[in-house]
Amino acid sequence: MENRRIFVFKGILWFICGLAAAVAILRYAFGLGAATALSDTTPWGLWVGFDVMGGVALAAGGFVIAAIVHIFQKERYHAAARPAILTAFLGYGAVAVGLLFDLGLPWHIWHPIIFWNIHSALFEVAWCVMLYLTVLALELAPTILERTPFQRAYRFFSRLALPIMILGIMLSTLHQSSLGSLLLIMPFRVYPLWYSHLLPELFFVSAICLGLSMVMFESSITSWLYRRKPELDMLSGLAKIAAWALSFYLAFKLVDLFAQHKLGLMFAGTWESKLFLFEMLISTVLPIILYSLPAVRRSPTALWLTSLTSVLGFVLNRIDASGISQVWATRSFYFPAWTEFAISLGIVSACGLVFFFIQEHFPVDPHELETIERERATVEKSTPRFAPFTQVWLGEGWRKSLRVYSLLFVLAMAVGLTLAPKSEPAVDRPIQRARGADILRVGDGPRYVYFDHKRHQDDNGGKQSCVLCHHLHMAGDVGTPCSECHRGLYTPTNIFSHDRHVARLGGDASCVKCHGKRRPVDLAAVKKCSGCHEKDMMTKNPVVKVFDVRTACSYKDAMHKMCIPCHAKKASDPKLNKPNLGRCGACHNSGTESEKIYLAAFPPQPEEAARP
Amino acid sequence: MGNVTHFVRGPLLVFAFMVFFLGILRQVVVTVVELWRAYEKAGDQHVPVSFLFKRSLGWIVPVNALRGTRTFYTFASLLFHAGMLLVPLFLAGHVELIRKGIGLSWPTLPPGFSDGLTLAALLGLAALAFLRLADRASRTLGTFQDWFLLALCFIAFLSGYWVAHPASNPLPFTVIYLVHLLGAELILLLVPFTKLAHAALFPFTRISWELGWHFVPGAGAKVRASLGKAGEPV
Repeated sequence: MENRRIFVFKGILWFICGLAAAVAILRYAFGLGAATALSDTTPWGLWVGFDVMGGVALAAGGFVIAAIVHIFQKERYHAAARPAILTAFLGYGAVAVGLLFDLGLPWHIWHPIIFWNIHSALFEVAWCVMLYLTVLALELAPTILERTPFQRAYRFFSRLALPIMILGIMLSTLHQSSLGSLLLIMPFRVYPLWYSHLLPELFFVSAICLGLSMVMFESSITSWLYRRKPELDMLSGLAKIAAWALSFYLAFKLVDLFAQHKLGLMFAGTWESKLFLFEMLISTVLPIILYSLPAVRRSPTALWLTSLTSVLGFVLNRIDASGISQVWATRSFYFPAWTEFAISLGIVSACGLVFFFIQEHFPVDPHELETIERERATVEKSTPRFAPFTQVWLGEGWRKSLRVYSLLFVLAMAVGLTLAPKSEPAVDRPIQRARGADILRVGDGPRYVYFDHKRHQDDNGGKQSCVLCHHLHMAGDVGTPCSECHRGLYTPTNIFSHDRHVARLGGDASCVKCHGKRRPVDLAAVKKCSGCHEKDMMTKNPVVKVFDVRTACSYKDAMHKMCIPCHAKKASDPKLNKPNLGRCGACHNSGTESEKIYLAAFPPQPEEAARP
Repeated sequence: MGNVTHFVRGPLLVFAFMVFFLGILRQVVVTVVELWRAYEKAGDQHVPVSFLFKRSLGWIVPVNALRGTRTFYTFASLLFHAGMLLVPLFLAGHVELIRKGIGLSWPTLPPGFSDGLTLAALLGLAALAFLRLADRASRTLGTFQDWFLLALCFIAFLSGYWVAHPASNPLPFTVIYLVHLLGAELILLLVPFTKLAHAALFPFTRISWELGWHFVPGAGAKVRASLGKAGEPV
């Protein structure tokens, strides 16, 4: 009988991977603007906080366990060594893959190898990732090679193991802290509760705590998935170590805050302080208490929950430090788009799938592998079982996996490609109708122009001049305001109502009245608007000549296209002698006579006047 | 109604096409993998690939099959398939929509010709349904899926004809337009998961059929001998 638990779990992971694959395509086809909620003010979001900062920290289990087993010679934890190294390798792989999505020019990722900027914290980060990924691959090599024909290579890498482990521990020490150094250069951006001169050291210590919790989390979740007995002896030992490490981190953090006179900030009541308290509670305080309770250390479920809490807390810490805690300085709002979550979770899911694959095919846990292989052998020989409704047999073992997982992947991809945004969301503001009579205030918010309507009318020939600007009226109206059609400041508006025309012209029988009998029906063959509306809606305007359009251009375009040609013409007229008329400042100005006249018509309310 | 139309011709259409293309790609990959696995397990690994290729090509040319035992059935099927392949891809209105959507366009059929193809396909579908009922074996073997797909194709073609000829359309235009869109989208969605998958898996049919004879070495030859057809290709 196949293990249903792991089958369903892998199915979910494949589905998330499918979503991420769809988003990945769109990210490379349409760029970061379309695929993320990031902006120039908030260039670091979920991907840096979770994928890079979190990914590196989650991989800390590798060096922590390596140190415990190989340096401190605690053989009791030997069983955790290989899974921890595998997790670390996948974690760093995730960082590298995540960076390919997050970098604006991902094809430049190799630049730090050649172009050395030794003053950059990112330079150190880049080199540490490269070197440590290599080291982790070397550490992982014996696991992969053990049961292959390449026995000489296996023996070579096994002999290399100890020096490589030591190198790995050294590099991790550098790298975990260098991620903290990245934030050192933004003292005015990172909120004071997170900012400290000791950020590198804090990052290093917290990485150790996170690494321990991550090893416990991963060990208990795999034993749950594979239905095997959790190694409680090892887990409770790790929990004890984690409690000490967490206590040290807590003390370190508090002393650091105290030394910087920032302890009071924790209880300032701002939402940053609440976030900080929440983060400390779930990452440190709660796990310290729980890990210290013998009852918790005896229960695999309780250990799993506690380690999950701690892991989430420290990942939150990384996201806070690299993103959320900077919002107070940038005063911008940022919440990750679902596409960002999809990529982050997709990378984690892919790592999970690779983890399961290696676990099931290579001796990460030799004892476990034998059980899995025995199960696989029985599954391959099982007799067909047809589904009752469809009469389909999906096969067993890898055939079933191929069919079911590929289906889930493909469906998720289809959903992702359908839902994911194809372009950057258009930024627009609605237009308000120009107010006033003789002098109009055109536009709203910070950008407006005081337009002397009467003067324009008088200078251009009185009542005869309306048509110089007004080019389209609502049916039965005259002098329809610009804002009726040009409804968006930056985006065009569709002003043609197909439904209304169908209703007025007599339903389905009326198609031919506009579309004619020509096929296919396209815009080129459609009857011109002027064919019906020349008298009741249109004027003989010299600038806007084409009336057979269904879209009104943006308000900004409408104003510029209408005003600038006329102004430019008059500016070059030597008789008028107004050379500045064609310049921006001719309209975009303030403190003019027009403004004063306009504002006089709207005296400020008493309470408004009282304001400074 | 406008919102529904907007959704059906927007996100839902994209989704249907995505499932169609990705689903077909998946089916092809799964089929190739399974065929390869079958080939590896076959006792006799000599597969006459060039012969199979020619056979498959032979099946595509309808003239050969028309000389077979079920001429009328084949002719009805041919009418339907001609419409099914040509009209969705080369109808001028469809190409115009594709051009507006993704900017690609290609030569189109004259409107009268595509009308003729549509009507021929409808006729073919009706004949296929009649033959399925008339023949006892087909009637017994027919499943819900067979009838459902037949009806679905009929609805898609009929509503398509009415969309192109609003004057002869007995229902409100929006309704028939929605029916056409939803019918076509359902076909696209079902292609990878029903027998409609033969649209993509056709090239593999001969190979998988042939491989069946190869599990036991010489099985095909023995069957031929016992049928009294020794020496002929399978």
